[in-house]
Amino acid sequence: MLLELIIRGITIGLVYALMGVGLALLNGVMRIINFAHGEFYMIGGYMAYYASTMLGFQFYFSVPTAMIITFILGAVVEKLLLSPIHTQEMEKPMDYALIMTFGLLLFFRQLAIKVFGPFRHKPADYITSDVYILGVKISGNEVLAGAVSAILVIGLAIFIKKTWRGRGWRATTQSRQGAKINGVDIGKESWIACGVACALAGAAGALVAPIFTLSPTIGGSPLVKSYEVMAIGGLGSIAGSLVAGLMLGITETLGAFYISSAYKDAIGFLMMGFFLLFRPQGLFGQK
Amino acid sequence: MKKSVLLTAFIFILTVFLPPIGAMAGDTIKLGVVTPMSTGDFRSGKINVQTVELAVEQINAQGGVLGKKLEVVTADDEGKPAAGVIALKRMIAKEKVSAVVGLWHSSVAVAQEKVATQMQVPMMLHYSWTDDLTAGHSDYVYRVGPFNAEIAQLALPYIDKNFKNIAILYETNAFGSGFANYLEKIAKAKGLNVYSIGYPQEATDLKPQLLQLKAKSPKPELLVIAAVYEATNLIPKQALEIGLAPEMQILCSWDWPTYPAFQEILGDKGVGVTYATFESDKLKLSPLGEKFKKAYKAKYNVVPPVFALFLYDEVMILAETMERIKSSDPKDVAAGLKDTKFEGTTGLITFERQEGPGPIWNQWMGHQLFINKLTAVDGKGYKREQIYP
Repeated sequence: MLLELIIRGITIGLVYALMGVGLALLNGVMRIINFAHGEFYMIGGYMAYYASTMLGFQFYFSVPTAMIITFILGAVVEKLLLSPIHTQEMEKPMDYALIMTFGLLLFFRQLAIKVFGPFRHKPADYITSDVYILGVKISGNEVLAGAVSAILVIGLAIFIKKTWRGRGWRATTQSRQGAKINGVDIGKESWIACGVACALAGAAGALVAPIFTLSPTIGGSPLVKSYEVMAIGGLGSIAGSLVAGLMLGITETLGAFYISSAYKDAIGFLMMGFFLLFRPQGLFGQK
Repeated sequence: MKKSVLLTAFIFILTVFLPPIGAMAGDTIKLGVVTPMSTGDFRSGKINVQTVELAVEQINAQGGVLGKKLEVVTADDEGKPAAGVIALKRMIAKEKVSAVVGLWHSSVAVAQEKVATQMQVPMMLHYSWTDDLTAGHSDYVYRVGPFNAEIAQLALPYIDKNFKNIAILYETNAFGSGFANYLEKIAKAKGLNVYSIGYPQEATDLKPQLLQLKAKSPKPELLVIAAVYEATNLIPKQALEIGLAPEMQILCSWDWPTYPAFQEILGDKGVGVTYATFESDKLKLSPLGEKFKKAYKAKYNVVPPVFALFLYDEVMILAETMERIKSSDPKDVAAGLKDTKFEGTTGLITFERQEGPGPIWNQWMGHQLFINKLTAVDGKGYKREQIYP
């Protein structure tokens, strides 16, 4: 049973990491808290659902389709609603972003009820057969979600480390002014980073849609998990998000089993509280 | 300028302070329908409105009530407690209704019950199952529909006959907790071994709870699911994924497996799932029930669901009560309902009152419960078989 719990904790933890890494990227480059992050997860799930049911796409097309659409949506949101943070002289840009993204959360949720309807939907299983890992039976969908999440998080880490754009984002995270002086176009990099962050959330939603199914209100829980991952891993740290996601997934699963499933979500809060009190920079963040 | 200000003020006073024309004329008796119409379970809300309209149409065709026509007034509670309270208050204060029917979601009705009691207007519940609704022993709340503890009681003979170790997975809200606590109590009294686990109603990952059940010894042979929200279809799905089912039988506490979403989410894996329901071809209908079924099908081209029968009964009971007491005053109607003896669509309806704590207060107790099993699936949906009684 312990092995089964750990394997399940790892698969769900990798999806948490994927959600958290997008938020960490956005926080690093744009220095904002995005309350609507969970809504991009929800939209990604619905896009994958419609891509598979209406267009007959397999998961290797429906998940990228969801990512492309949420990337475009994220970029448009940044250009239209969030760009004043860096194009205008604002006294409290963080407050502006908080209010704007909270408004977006409510808007997307109500819009989803109108457009997608209030009832639950589920795309066809991406992988119909079960997979055995060390003798433990796991659904193919869960293994796929965990594996693709790991690939995307590691891919993003390599992109940020190796490419010019990635270096630009790192520079912006360290010092916006310094990055600007060295030729980084903050406006352009902001909408691209926002699009990428939203696409990662969309990918997470698309990957778990056959597991947890879809409804317009599913964005709340992943948003909370994203913040927990970010607080534990450290603001703006991708490696931190990956480790924090895994820690959170495994601890929650074990805690829910050995302590009480009623406290599953409380375990994440406790971990976040612990880090905020005793190690506010998180696992890999800088003081 | 001065003239236009005066004109605006005049129109404002007219629209805000003058009562509506219907109320001024007093030539109709108003019956309120507060039900979800835009969000929440608005599909059932639509059936509620249609049912009341049909019943009122039939009553008016036979001369109305107390020589007046019955008039249906509708309001949307959006399936939300806050909106439901406002809709009910507005209906009572502005429309001056004699009674309110059509209330749906338990969580909304719990909030509305206090309003009806405070404003002294009778409300009747035809399919809101929470025990709490009648446990307050209000003189203004009557229920023709079933309630949680009754459903548990009616399902117990089936459970007791077929299983020794059972698990109950329930939402920690009024509906789930009420059902689970009562079933646990009466099942234990019968000597059954019961594992009971609650979860928050918004949960979508139920595998931690299901894994806990998987590790139990002796293993549960039956899983009873008491849910309304997100996890209704997810629990059977996830129980199958972790290998807990189909070895362990699943019993849904109401008939959500008949909804399209269940088939979309579970597909052929849903075969074998059982559910409790009040719907059955074997449900005994009275002549009034047959008449209503025929009229509903003729008007709306579908067979009415069982809750429409209970709602139809409520409208007929209200009309009969007003005629009997010669009054449409809400307070008189509430008092008069107590002495109801009405041959309804599925049996003789009387309202029972049990002193002491408990939900049996202004409650009809004559429901027939059935347990069905999904036996096969094709493009048209699941095939089902009645396995109890």
